[in-house]
Amino acid sequence: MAPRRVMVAMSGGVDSSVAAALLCEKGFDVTGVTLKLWRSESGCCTAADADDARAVARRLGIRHYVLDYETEFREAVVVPTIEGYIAGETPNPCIECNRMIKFRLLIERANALGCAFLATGHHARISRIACGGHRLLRAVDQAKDQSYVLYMLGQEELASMLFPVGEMTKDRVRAEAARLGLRTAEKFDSQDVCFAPDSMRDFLEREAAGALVPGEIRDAAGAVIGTHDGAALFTVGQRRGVGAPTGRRVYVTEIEAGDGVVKVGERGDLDARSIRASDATWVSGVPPELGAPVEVKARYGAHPVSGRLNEIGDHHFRVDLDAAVWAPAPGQALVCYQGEELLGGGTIRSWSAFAQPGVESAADRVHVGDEPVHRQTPCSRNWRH
Amino acid sequence: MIYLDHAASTPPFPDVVQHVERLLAHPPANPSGAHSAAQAASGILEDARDEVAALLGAQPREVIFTSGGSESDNFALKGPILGKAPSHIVVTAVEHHAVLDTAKWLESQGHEVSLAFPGADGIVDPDSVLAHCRPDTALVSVMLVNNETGVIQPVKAIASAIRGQVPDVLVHTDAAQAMSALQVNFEDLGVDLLTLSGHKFGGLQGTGALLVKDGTRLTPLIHGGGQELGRRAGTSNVVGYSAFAAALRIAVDRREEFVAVTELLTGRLISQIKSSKVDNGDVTARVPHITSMCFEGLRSEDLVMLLDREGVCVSGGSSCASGATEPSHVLLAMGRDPEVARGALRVSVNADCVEAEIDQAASAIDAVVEALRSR
Repeated sequence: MAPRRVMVAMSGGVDSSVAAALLCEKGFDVTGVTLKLWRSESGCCTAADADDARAVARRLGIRHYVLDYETEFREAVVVPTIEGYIAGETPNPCIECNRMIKFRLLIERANALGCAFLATGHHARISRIACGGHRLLRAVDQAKDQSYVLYMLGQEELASMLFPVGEMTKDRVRAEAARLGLRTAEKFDSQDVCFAPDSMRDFLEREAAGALVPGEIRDAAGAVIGTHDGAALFTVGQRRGVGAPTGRRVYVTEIEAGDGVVKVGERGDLDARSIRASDATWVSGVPPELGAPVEVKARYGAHPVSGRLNEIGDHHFRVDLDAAVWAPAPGQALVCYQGEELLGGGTIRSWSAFAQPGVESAADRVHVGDEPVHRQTPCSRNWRH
Repeated sequence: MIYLDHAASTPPFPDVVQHVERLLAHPPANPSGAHSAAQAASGILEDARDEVAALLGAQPREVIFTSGGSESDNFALKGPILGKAPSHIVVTAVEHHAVLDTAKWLESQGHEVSLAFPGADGIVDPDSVLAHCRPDTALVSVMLVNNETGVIQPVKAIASAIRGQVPDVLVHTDAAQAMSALQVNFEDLGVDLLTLSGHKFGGLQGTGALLVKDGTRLTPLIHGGGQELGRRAGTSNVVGYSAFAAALRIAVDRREEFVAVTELLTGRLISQIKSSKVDNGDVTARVPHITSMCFEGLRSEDLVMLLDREGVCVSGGSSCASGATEPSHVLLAMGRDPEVARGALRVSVNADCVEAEIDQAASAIDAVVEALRSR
């Protein structure tokens, strides 16, 4: 039987390099691809990372191609990111890139080109259940776990995906790369958003200059304590640029994009005990049971906090937390785990400093469109959007 | 492997390889030195300059060796303008990125750039260039052969039309893709600056030249030891430039044969492909070894990838450093629908290709197109 074909998305980093190497060793027919997503100002395309990927592919004896997704990336990732910031949110472009480009267009492409699987260098694991389904699990290396940015994966995608390095620690990945003589062995982990290598602030100042309108910084009581250059440049929990004249440490608590007001408060004002998310997706295809105990992450690097899924709608959910989650930012992902397993997630819409009384029955709320509206909302003024 | 990407790079002639081996057996000294070893190296270098000049109807002092087509294009556009008051240049919209991106950069430095567009046949009409020319136009750049479609531009007619209107203008032509198939005479063409690239006609990668009409003032891009008549500093690539001259001699000697053979091969390929396609550019006004076609509904990258798997090396458009295939700016400038342009395939042969390879490539193209269209 001919070996099964796999397409490996090679970023030019060490993880995807080793992912490709492992698949070769397992006897797959491997083709490497690097996505060209963004054009740097200095030249025709950002070639250095693609060169690294090509060098690794050459070392492994596999073919390597660069696929141009510049137009799709701009439309599906960059523009919505800018719009999100202008709307006062803190979008996660890497998640949108995964959702719209890698795990949609690229999987389709891989299948169209006769590849049974698409593999990436993400640190996460896929476990195939006896009855035929797939579960998404955290990586073995908890410190490097990247499952958070994969929460949008469903059964269909997981059936044609491989995460070869999810079973390895980062140290082992590097050791493996060194053993194979791959030039990416010592390469730093990338921390940047690829299209904003300087900083998101610089990027927005370049790309969204027209939408940056100076406005007021107000404290919790509503008093004006300063001014800013544009509400889009702030994110919830940020300290820089909002220093109060009193010298007290203050943090952005809320961004009111409509009137351009950035609200600040004390650190403790950002302790959330209940978080709502929209655009929910569940790995199994079915939401968990109402009241299910979960651990959630509201930011990529955050420690999981336990809580309960006390409200689940067709496209949204609410988690009430056993301990505070600090500064959940609307636009970021809220991802639910049960132990090792990633259940699903959504986009943070709002949060409250108070946990809700318990499981909410359908009678307590009415729906306007997709969003639930609370009939009895003793704490509703405390929900922050 | 069937290699049909000769417009991207064609292998050096075997005679050139032997020539290089002979030179490397006694590596030349630095030709800038004073001693006899340096004089020997300088002799090889200047013989190369004489040869290139003689083959192209230029004076030896008009031949500046460079690292290749991109450097020559950069030098041709920046050299006359750098450090000057803001000026105006005209380039065609189908130029190589080495010209277009340089023009874009000059624009960012305060100069004005106008783009002249071709017709649907890919040919840039002299009038459409003239329409952009003004009394203060400093430079016009029109390529001789387009690298993606193979279409030949009426450079001589354009140069003479412009001179009638703007006497002081400099005319540059990028002739990187022209040397294998076209007889080129610098004097006769009537341009001031002409770009050449060694590895497009059987020389080595990393070698090129810019022909500069005597008396043309250019600010050097590379300052230093005063090599290349003070126009380009840096120890000369004696072996590379000597190979460049040797390859150019062979290309010129074999031009008729090259044209006859590649015309047959390209015609054979086009007639054998059964899948529905759109030919890009005027098929009568192009060099015989480059042909470009679009397969509607498909993406170049997929075609290239699957053909590679079948052992056929072709390209989607022009090749970029990362290997990416962009929707071709050339085809878009010709008015191609972007969705059609995305399915472009460029096939380029040389005189060493054989009919069996062409037949195999044609059936591989049909098979791959069929496979992708049926999904």
